[in-house]
Parts: sequence; C-alpha cells; structure tokens
Amino acid sequence: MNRQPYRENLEVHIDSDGRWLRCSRCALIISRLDQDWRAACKRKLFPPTKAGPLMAHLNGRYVFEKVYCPSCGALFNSEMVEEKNEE
Amino acid sequence: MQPLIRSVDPVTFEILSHRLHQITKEMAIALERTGGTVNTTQQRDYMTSLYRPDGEILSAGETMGHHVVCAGFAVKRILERFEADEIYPDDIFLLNDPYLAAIHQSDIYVVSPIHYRERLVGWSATFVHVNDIGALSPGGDSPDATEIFHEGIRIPGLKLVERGKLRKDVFETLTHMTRQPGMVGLDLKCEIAANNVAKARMQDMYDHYGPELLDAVSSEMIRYSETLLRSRIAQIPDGSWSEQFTIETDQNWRMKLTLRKEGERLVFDFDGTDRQARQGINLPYHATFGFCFAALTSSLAYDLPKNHGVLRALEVVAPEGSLVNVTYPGPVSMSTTSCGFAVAFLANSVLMQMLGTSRQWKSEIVAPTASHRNGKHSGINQYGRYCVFNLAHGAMDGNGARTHMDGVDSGGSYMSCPNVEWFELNFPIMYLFRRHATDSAGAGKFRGGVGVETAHTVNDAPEKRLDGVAYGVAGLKNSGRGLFGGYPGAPSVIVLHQGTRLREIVSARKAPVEMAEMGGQAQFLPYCNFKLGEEDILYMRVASGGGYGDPRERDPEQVRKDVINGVVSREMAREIYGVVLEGGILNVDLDATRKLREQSKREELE
Repeated sequence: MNRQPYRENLEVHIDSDGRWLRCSRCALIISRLDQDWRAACKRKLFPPTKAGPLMAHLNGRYVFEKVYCPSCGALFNSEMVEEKNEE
Repeated sequence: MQPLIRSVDPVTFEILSHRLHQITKEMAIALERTGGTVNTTQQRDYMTSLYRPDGEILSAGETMGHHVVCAGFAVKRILERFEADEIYPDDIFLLNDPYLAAIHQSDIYVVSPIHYRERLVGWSATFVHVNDIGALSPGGDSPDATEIFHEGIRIPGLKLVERGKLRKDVFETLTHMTRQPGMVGLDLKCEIAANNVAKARMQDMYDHYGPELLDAVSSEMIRYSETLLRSRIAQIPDGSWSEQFTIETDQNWRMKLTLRKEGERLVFDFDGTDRQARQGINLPYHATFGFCFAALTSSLAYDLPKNHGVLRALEVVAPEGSLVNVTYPGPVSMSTTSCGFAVAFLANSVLMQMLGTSRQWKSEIVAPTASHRNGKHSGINQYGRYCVFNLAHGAMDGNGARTHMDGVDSGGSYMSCPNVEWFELNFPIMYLFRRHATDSAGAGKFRGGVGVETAHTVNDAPEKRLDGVAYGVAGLKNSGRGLFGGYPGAPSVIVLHQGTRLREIVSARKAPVEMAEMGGQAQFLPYCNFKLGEEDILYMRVASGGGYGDPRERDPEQVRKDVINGVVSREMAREIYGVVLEGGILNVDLDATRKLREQSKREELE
C-alpha cells in the first residue's frame, strides 16, 4: 500500500524518495509529510460572514481563511484566523 | 496469540465487569433521587465511579469523564493524609482542594472506603458541583476573584462520616459557610447516599463471588482496556498534531497542545501555553489530565471499559504555573467551563487530526467544539426564598459533524438541561423563547448540529431583579470548529439587553420573539457579575457544531430540508451551499445549483 489517508482531500503518498502529502482528488504532490503543507497551498482570506451571517461579531478581529489545492481547488481547510496575524 | 482475558473465563469476566459498571449507574440514580438542586436532579452535573484500593480507576460512571480522574487523585490524597489504621469501615471522606484533586472548590468529592471482612478492597467516589461554596459570587464562579482565598472554603480532606455516623459538627460547619445551607446539605447527603449504595452493592458482590475472583476480574478489566487501547494506538501511523486556542478576557490567553503518537503511547504536551492568569480560568494539572482522558474515552476508547488501563496509555505534559497547571494561590473558580472546556477542545481536535490519518478510525471523527458561554442567577424567588441556579443552556449545544453524517442538533456535550416549565416553576424567570438558532450550524458537506438560542427575563421576583454571573469560554472563536474544510459554528454569546420594550410588547398581546424589536441597550457580557431587571432581557446563544468538508459538496436535497426546517435560511442556502431553490422552497433547481457552485468556486479561486 503506497497511500494512507491524512484528512479530507489529502493523503500520504509513499515512494522510494520518501513520504509525501498529495491531493487525493488530482494527485498533485503538495509537500513532504514533515513540511508545512499549508505553505504550499493556495490560501484566500474572506470577511467572517463568508462562513455565515451570524459571524458578523467577528468583523474587524478575525478573517475567514480557506486553504485549497493549488491545482484543482479542492478545499483542505477553513477557519477563522486573527486579523492582526494576517497584516 | 495469547487470549486477552487470561485469569478468569470470558463469560464471568463480562458479567462481573458489567455489574461493576451497573453499580456506578445505580449510584447515579440514588444521587439524582436524593439531591435537590438543578445540578443534581436535572443537569447531571455529578460523577459516580469505583476505584481499587490504591486509587486506580476500576469503573467509571457515565457522566463527567474528567472528574473520574480527579476523584482518583482524591482517593490517593486521602490515602496520603490518613494512616491506614485511621480509615475505618463506614467512614466517608470529603475533599474539594483544587491543588490536590478538585477542579474548583464548588466540586466536592465524597469518597468512601469499601471494606470486606475488615480488609480495604476498594473505594467509591462521587462528585457534585454544589450550589454554593461561599465564594465572592453566588454559585462559586467568581469573575472578580484574583486568588484562591476569594473562591470559597478549601478542604484538603476530612471525615464527613465516621464509622457510619454523620459528623454533624463538620456537616454544619460546611453548610453554614455557604449561601444555601439547605441545598448544599442536600448536595452532600445525596453524595453520601450514592456512596452507601456502592458500598452495599460491592459487599454483596464480594459475598457472592468471593474476593479472589472479584480481585482477579478487577485486574483483568484494567489490563483488558490497556491492552486493547495500546493495540489500537499502535495501528495508527506515528506522528504529531497541534492545535491552539485563545480565551479572550481583558487580554488574550493562549493555549497550545501538541499530540505525539509514538508506538503504542500518546503524549499530550501543552508546552507553549501561557502563564496562569489572575482570573479564575486556570486549570489544575489533574483536571488537564482528566479532560485528556475524557477525550480519549469518547474517541479511540469509546467502547472499552473506562478504567485505569486507558489512563496508562497516555502522558500529559503541562508547564507548571501555566493555564493548564495552576500553582498556589492562583484562582480557579471558573476553570471547568473556561480552560477546562478549552483543553477538551484541544485534546479532541488533535485526536481527530490523528484519527484522520487512520483508514480504520477515520469514520469515528467528530468535528470538535470549543464550547460556549454560560450563566447563572441568584436572588429571592417567587416563594420568598433565596436561590442560586445555573441556566444550564450549554447542555443544548449542537454537536460536530462527522465524515458521514450531520452533527446532532442541540445534542449537548456534557450535561442535560431542564425544560422551560421546570425553570419557570422553580425560579423567578420567564422565557421569551428557546429555539434552534437559524444559520448557526457550521456549514459543510455534512453540517454541524444546530445550537440553541434563548431569551429570558425576570418574572414574579419580589425584588424585581436577579443577580447574574457570566462565565464559560469567553471568545468569539468559541463554538464548534469546522473540520477538514467544514465551516465553524456561530460564536456563543451572552448579551444583556437593558431597558427594553418587553412589557409594552407583551401588554399589546404580541409574542416577544424577535430581539430586533425589543429595543434597549445591548451589551455583550465578558466574564462579569451583572443584574437583570424586569425591563431587561438576557439573550444567550450556545455553541453550534462545526461542519465537515466543503459545503458546496453537500447534497442539495439536504439543504432544502434544512431550509424547510428553519435551521438554514434561503440566503445561506444560496450564498454558502450554492443551492438554488425554485417555487418557494419546494424544489432544488439542480442545473442552476451546479452552475452556481462552479461559478462560486471559480470566483473564489481567482
């Protein structure tokens, strides 16, 4: 078996060069398993209300971050992150 | 391959291990029936469990897994404090010191040695969150406390019952130091009752099966849980996973957890967590351990006997003097529902990330929740008596989504919540509404469970007001966290609306169900004491579950049903789920939905 699950839309691919994280939808290699895979992804920031109208309280302090496969756009992660960390 | 159960036959093992668990359930029944407060009779804010002679967990009851660990520490502390020849059959001990075993002083542990033919063969233990403990704020949770001495009586261990006789001097000393001696007295007595049930049932078992067999089964139970759990851990690829959380008070308090999975062992390491606070959000080490244990017993060990075998497979590293390992005289009164629930979130989050890497365990994933705000009231009730009561709304939060199904709506994560009529019968409040909060659930391929929103005011209170305390997990990122692309649930908030038009609206015989029509001044409550008058409304929204996966992959038919059921608005259906409904909400326009989803994804990635 040269693949293992990692999370939704991401899997561990094992070959003779080592262990890699790759998109399970388009098979693009994202990073080595021990590297920060998020840094190699497409990342977009939105107003908090992108996640729903009741998120309006978070305006000005948080932004909604979505992380995608840079090739096929499969969604890997989404979360509220502090706005000041993104400036 | 060696059999898992070695020294007794498997049928006897099953019968006796289930019987031990049944004793913890019978303890809970006795406790509920003899208690008197919201916490014991309605909310299940208690714990019952059995221990081995040295304090190792033998069988945990069904509520409050974190307290099972802490009560084990309580047994060990009693064993350290009292010589063996000072512990008599039919003694019952009491302890609530947060630096020794409890989480905060309101948590009173009552532990009882179990003797068989003069030999100590085990312990039973209960915990109850008592109605008051003589702290700065009624009910115990004290936002203004800056050190332990502001947070009520602290007992390192004493005998409440000696050789079967209640020590009235001790009992009355304790109850008289609280604002509610009658209710706290009931709290203590229901714990005694539960421990007496445990002792009687255990002694029956020893009579029937004999000490050799029962001791052998007890050892096997612990070994069985440890062996199975370790083998499950070993099947998961090695790795490490991290999570962070922030509690927002007058400053941001940051907590960090890294889970390292090495072979058949799990290490929860809180290195990087902030120093302890001067406000009572700090958690004692044993409680941090307890919340990690509880996270494990509800995930990878959910079907195993919950005992010391589970505990042996984990290690918890918590820096001394930090938010997760408080030192004297750091305050702790609000710790359970602040740093405690934050630790539960962190532990669950890293465990879910770990399970995501396992083909076998992936289907057990649940999006974790970072919990919610909570509140309690005190004052004179409609019968002219002083009362303290917890609103318990947190028991109606929405659960996280899973890999294959939506989260449970208002499923609750810890306790139970009394119905509206029960509250209104016993306390001077009137609910305006208690309902599922539209658009609160975290969106996803599978959405989170919907949380509840409530509004209430003072009604029929002789003093025309109630005091209140706002506590819980403060911070706008509380609520359910989305998992693997799923969106977060709406934040949990407590909002005090003062000077509203409520009475005018009610006089006009209109239903006061829309907060936007109430008028008045709205204030989001931090950790604080507050007052609620007859013209005021307290609005509370608990946590909602986080979603799982991309919302644009959710079955459009499920979105349509959510709109019909009022848990998702038409706007959210279109904007977030990309579902186009036609003919009112009767049908999904599948072609338009597909185009809208493609367009939305394209625009998002540009």
